Amino acid sequence: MEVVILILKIYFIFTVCVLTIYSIRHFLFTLNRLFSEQRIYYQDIVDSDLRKITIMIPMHNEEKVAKQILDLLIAGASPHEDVDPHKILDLLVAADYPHDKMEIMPINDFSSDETRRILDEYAAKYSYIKPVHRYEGKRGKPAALNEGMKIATGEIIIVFDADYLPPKGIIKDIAVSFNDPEVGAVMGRVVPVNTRTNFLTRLLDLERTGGYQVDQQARYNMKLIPQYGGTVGGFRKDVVMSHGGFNTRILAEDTELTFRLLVNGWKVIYANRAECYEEAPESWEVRARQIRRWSRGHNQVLFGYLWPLLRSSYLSVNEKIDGALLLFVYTIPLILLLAICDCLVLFFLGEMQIMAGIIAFVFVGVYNTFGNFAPFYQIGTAALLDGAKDRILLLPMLIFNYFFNTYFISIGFFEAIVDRLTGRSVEWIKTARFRSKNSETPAHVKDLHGHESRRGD
Amino acid sequence: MPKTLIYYHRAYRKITGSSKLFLIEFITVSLSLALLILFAYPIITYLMSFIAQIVLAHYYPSDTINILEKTFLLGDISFIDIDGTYPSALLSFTNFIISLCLVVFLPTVKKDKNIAIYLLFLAAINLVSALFFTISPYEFPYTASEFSEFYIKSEISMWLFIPFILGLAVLLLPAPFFSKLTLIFFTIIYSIVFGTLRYIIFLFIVSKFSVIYMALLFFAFGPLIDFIYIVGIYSFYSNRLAKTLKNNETVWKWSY
Repeated sequence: MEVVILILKIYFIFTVCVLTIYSIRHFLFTLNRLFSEQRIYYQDIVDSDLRKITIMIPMHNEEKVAKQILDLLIAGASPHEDVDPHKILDLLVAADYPHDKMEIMPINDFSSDETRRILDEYAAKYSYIKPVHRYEGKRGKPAALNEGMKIATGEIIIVFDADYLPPKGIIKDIAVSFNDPEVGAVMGRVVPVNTRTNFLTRLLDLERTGGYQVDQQARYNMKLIPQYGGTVGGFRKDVVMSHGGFNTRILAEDTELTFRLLVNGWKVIYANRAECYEEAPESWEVRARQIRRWSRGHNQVLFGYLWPLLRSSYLSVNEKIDGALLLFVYTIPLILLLAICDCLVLFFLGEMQIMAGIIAFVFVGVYNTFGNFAPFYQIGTAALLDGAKDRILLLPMLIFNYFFNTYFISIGFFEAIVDRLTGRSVEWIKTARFRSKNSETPAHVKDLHGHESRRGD
Repeated sequence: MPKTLIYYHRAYRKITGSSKLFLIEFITVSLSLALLILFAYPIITYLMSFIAQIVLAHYYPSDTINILEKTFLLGDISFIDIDGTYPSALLSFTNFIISLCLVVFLPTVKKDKNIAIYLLFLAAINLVSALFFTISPYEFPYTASEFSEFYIKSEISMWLFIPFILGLAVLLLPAPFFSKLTLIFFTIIYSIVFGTLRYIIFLFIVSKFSVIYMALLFFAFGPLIDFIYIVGIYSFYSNRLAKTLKNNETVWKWSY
């Protein structure tokens, strides 16, 4: 029994050490984002010789959102086309990206609803919209992107999920960074469009704020590892294709791409100025599936890339440390959950006295993982920088996210272990959409097409 | 109407301040307050126990509630010595069955899954406790007095911790130094008051109802709840500050 108690105590101390490391990491990010020089993205570069790009939009039963994203991309691409005047008349402003230098490639991935018809209608009207209809092979975003890349004519691939509402200017903002020959991928900022819908969307908005405004920007500032998030971002087609395209056995193709590029000497950069609106999940059940899938995919990447990351000759020590901590992000909730179980066992073994002084740290850890794996001070700082006011009051409510995230992330972790051990193939489950078919583009997104919009409460 | 003030875009704006100044403020404030707590905790824990003794005396014979003292860290702590109520076999088994049903049922809840998962956490702790008391009730390693001592010790840890965690969070913000200092001090006072109230409730539950709920009380309503009000106070302060900063263009800087 003494050995068991010793092991439990060692695990408890181990957890405290891990949490302390993450607390310091996030505090340094917060400090950097508030006081240090901010590394500006490339959006001020003016280049008349724009690169040929392909915008890919994987779609599986996206009839609710397909029209809106295409309308917005068309509006950004050319002001002179005949787009639906009822929806986007007010979006038709100056040209953004010449459409002879771009193609929009919605990839209909086994849709059984009206998606196919909608895409064909658009393709008939606009020459640069080239839909791909897939009804054979493997379903899922990585497989869809692989198929799209085979026929894409652009040297740069820009990806949007179908529920996103790209503002005017974002295509050029993302594309211009590839003038830097070291850049392999770029990631923009994701902002929920349906923040006010319910309690969940408000909490997710806080999560995103902390994750992008402080975490990603600070990592970019500190020349660490900003993460490509699979949407509102782009990558070099030839680089990805030369490494065999996306791995269809991995659910987090974005994280996998980030680490694949890094260990092969490419840079991943972050564009905080390139903001794009998304539809955040509006029900806890949908969110549960989403976070479980993210955890499973992220941990698949952890198992595959931790060693190559540590061995890479292209990365600095700081990048390796940050990369490793990033890879373990979806493991921490499980480590914490086990620590709470560990404490419970120690409690019933009569060892609670040893915890009196340091148990607080475990709960600091709990708080550090509230929200998007960021401590409350990071999210609070991010909201303050965003100009938010009343949203900050919701910070203590992130405790509900903690238990929820811990539960589903832990399930995702074990699924990733089974994936690794059995080599089973994974099934892609799309996140459900909540927008109605005929909904209008939200006013603040229209604002982004016309002029600068400053978002607050 | 034309804008009278155009702010820097949020993407690259930052605030005035320096890491060095922050570090000096942080060390000064957190160490000073921690030292103050180290100096004062014998008196504070005595006052907490004294108040708890007065309140609990309404429910128990006064000669059964005593204040004990023990050495902890740099001085003595005071805590209530009280008898706990051990659960009957029926109570343990009933708790076990109810908790088990909840643990099985709650993950299947579709609506308000976040609340369901939180309740699952509570039910799982109670399940472990009920199982323990069902299988080996005489092996339970604590008396109510030991729980009382443990509670006081963890409260002291929390008070010592508040200046550091809140110092990190609040001293970064562009607000007058004394308002931030007051906030941290207020949070410690709040923690002492709230901790006293909760101490009385915890002791009442383990002595009047059953020690079977000891684990649930500590793990679900102990330090975890402390962090909720710490973050709550921080968020309230940040909210007020954000409203002030909106009209204060001197605070914001651009990029470098």
